[in-house]
Amino acid sequence: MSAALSVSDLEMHFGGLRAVAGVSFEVPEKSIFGLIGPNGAGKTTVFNCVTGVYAPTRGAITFQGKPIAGVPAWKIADLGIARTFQNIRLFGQMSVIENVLVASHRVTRASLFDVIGRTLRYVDDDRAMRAKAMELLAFFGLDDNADQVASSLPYGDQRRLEIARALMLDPKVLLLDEPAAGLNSAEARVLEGQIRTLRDRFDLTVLLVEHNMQVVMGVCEEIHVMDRGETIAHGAPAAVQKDPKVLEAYLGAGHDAITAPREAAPEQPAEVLLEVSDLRVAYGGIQAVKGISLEVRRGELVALIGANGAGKTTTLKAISRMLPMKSGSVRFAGKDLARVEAHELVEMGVAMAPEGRAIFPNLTVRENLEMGAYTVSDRGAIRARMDEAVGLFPRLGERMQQLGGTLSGGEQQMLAIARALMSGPKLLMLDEPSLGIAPVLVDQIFEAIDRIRRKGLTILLVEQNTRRALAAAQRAYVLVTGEVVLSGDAATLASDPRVQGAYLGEGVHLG
Amino acid sequence: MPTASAALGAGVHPTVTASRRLLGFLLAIALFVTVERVTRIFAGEYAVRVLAMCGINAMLAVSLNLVNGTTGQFSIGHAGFMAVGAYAGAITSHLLLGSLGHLWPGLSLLVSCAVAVVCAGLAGVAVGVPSLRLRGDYLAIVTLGFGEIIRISIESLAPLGGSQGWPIGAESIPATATLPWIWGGALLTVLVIGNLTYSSYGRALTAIREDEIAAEAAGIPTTRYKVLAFAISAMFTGLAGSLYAHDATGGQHIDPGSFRLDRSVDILVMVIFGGLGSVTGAVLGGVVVAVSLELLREFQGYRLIVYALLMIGLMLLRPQGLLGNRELDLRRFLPGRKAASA
Repeated sequence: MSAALSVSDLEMHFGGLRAVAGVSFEVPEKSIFGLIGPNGAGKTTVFNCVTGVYAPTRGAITFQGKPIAGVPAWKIADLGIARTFQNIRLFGQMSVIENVLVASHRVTRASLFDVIGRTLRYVDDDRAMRAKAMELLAFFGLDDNADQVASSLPYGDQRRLEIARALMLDPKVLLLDEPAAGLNSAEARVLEGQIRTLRDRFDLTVLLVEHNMQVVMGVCEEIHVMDRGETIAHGAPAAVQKDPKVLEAYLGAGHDAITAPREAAPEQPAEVLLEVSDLRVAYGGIQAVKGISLEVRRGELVALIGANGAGKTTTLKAISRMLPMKSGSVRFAGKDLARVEAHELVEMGVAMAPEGRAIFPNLTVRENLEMGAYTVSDRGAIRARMDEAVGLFPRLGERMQQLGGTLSGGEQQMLAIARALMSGPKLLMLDEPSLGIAPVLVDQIFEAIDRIRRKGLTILLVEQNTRRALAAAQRAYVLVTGEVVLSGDAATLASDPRVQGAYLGEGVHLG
Repeated sequence: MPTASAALGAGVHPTVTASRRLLGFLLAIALFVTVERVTRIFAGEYAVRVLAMCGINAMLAVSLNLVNGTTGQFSIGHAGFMAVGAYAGAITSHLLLGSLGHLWPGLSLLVSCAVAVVCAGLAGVAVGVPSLRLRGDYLAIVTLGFGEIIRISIESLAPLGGSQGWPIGAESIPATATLPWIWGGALLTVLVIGNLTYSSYGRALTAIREDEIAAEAAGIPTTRYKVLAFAISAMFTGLAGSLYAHDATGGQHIDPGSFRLDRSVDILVMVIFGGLGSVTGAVLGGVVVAVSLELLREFQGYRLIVYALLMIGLMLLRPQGLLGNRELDLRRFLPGRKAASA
């Protein structure tokens, strides 16, 4: 078997940081090849070198016998290497079909003159491209949404649209950057099948960067493992899985399933801190939240769980006043929030670590934390909270002067939580803290959440990782397509077969 | 712009033959001649002048919109390209005065406009190549500087009349650009830039606006495309400049003071008024600005204050501009015919 793509002695330095320090591998033709490793291993940097986003400091990348290191990104796409992005990068304001058509630009035969004069060649070409784009959309079940604005698609559809756009380039190699991020396990299983089908149907070589081990082990034929910029293992999934170096790097030494001792709910229920009743939220004509009622009592950790598109984040955004509600009410500490603006909420004692983390990339870690304490004027309190944040997340303490944007995904999530705590909130809202983060860091984050709760802080947690969420929470609400279908004690829900049913039933998006 | 792909008149019947298209263009010119005559008879010369201004504004706004609206770059020096077009056109006409200009003034104007388009286009490439590699505010600063360099250079060139401008002595610019010429130029601008916007090229430009990294990953050489859009925009701005210099309804007077920064800002205002990214919106913005500035003459000294208040009012009530990023589609109002959708 010949190599479709080969990387040898690749090095990429950013200032003094060696993000990739001499990595070599060969991706066999028509294989599904996995590039894995914990956060900060340098996987995405390798990806960016291969796709021309970065010119590597040293080393060679060869595609079909041609050296491509340092070739501009558009040229590499032109040669036949297509990619998707970890944090979906669609052309948000363009329609679904236009997103795909953008990538047809390189195969179109129409010249500028044909375009301006609307010649027959342009018309034929345009028709052919549209037909091809529709075929791809149909393959991903998106043909009915062709004229919809891309940014209005649900998350899973956006991921698939990105793949459709990449395929429009007629690539020989397809690079997928964490395609399973944000999918639940049923959706992830469907994705595995789709990746295999894609390879066969479009005659591709697939290079995959992924955190979801179920997907990696299920679909990859060969795996290359990186840690801190270096290769630590290479081989078939079964071999890599047992490699002690991989286990240690990936799962952390002495890793075990989270077994936080669960406390019984207090006899006397505390007062209600947050009360949501019959909340409805709509995007345009689409009802995203259809009458949700829930309550969070002081000192509780309440989880809001459900599949993608169930309306969890929308609910959280409506509570935090970042989305207008259509009807219903939200009361915090007895006060109606209908006329309260998002920034006033922070002063009232509600803080949020939003989905996608939203840290300030060009501020240092310290400055990010200081921004979190914007409403606090007591310098002593700020200093004390900053020490507390470092105690909670020692990694942040080591990186106080580093720019937020240079942190890895997991570290950014820690920063987002620490920043939210800086305002000294009564209620902390966490939106998908585990999204796209390596398991070892997810453990650390959930341990920290547990410690925060033990200190008496009330937490509302939105999480699509059900097992984790139910292990951490006391009570939970299960959402399916904008409605609460189940609620109650977290321990009881964890063993309730109906919870899994809620995921596998109509809440599932991937068809 | 999902709703707009085929909304422009130009994109509707892509299969019409060249001869029918030429016929359509000639009919439009005939219509413009009629408009000119009728306006002159019923509303006087002043109204014709306002209509000519509308046409020039429309050209300027549609051109700038290609860069600032569709491609998402930020140029604030388009008055410089207008100046290049105006002076290149005027010089050409001046040189042709004894020969072609005497025999066939229309052809002389055509040649002048062609020269203006080429010169402005070259200036566009010269400014675009170094500055469009960079992202964000750099283009704004470079174009701002470019506009000022052009203006100050002309001011210090005595053969071009310096800061006094043109006409120099008795040599005036031929008053050849009548309303049909100006509106014809505007129509051409809308057709070319409209067709470009709603095509694979326009899609590539919009993709650059939406996400430059993803556009590169989709195989689009972003720098090359930005320069292309910028050059085409400069070309039609130059055309507007040349027609402005030859404007038969005005004074055929150009001076460096007409191409200051406030002219660039005016064009930007038209684009934002009409709605960034919309071709017909830019036309509308140009017309609204020209007409409202004339209607506001009643306020005399307070004219610009009232104008500024109107601008603030519109931005508060309709921050996305009159049309947003949609296109005006007259066929939508026709009964029994469904507007073509992409």
